[in-house]
Amino acid sequence: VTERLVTLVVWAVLAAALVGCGVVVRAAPGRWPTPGDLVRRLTARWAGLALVVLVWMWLGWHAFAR
Amino acid sequence: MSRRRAPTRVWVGAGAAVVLSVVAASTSPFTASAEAVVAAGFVPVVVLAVVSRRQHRPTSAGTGTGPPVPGTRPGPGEEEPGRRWGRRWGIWLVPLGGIAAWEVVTYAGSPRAEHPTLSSMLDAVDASHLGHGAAFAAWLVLGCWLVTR
Repeated sequence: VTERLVTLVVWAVLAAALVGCGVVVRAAPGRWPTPGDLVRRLTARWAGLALVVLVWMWLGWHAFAR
Repeated sequence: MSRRRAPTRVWVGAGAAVVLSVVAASTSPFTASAEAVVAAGFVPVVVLAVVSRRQHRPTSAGTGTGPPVPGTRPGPGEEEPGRRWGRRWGIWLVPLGGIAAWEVVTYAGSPRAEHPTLSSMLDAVDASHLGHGAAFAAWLVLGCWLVTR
């Protein structure tokens, strides 16, 4: 078993956990906050909105320009 | 029951995003053209953020600070006004915290090929024009989604 395989398996487990949480949240509407609720909460104030936009900008710059 | 048609501006925006993504697919990182196309992607999302915020004046909804609105019960998947989620935010802490922690662990690891980070895995997708364009389009969609919640 290589370190690369272990790393990729952990990434896969984390991705599955994220998708699983999404399924759980969708299966019981109103019981758990959705990703939309999380973003709404973060962006409820101008400062939060600016922070979210800046993080999104950095993501694009990092991924596609640098 | 008739389906509502998307407003014209949505179609115009989607068309512009497709054109920008096609242009982005032909660029390579560390070039002026790549920087220009990413900067061009910033503009519509920032404008959308400002316009969207002005159309929907801040209310107590979703902030967890205001009182619930009597007689209003949200449908499935809709936000519950004034809802205090409290510890239930924790459901997202496990996967998101795990991803953040594992990113740090893999980033500290060496060589990169043995310890792929999210960035290095995205590089593999970015290697083809199609993957690069699709990833760019996904990034634009994410930005629009984030600022219109």
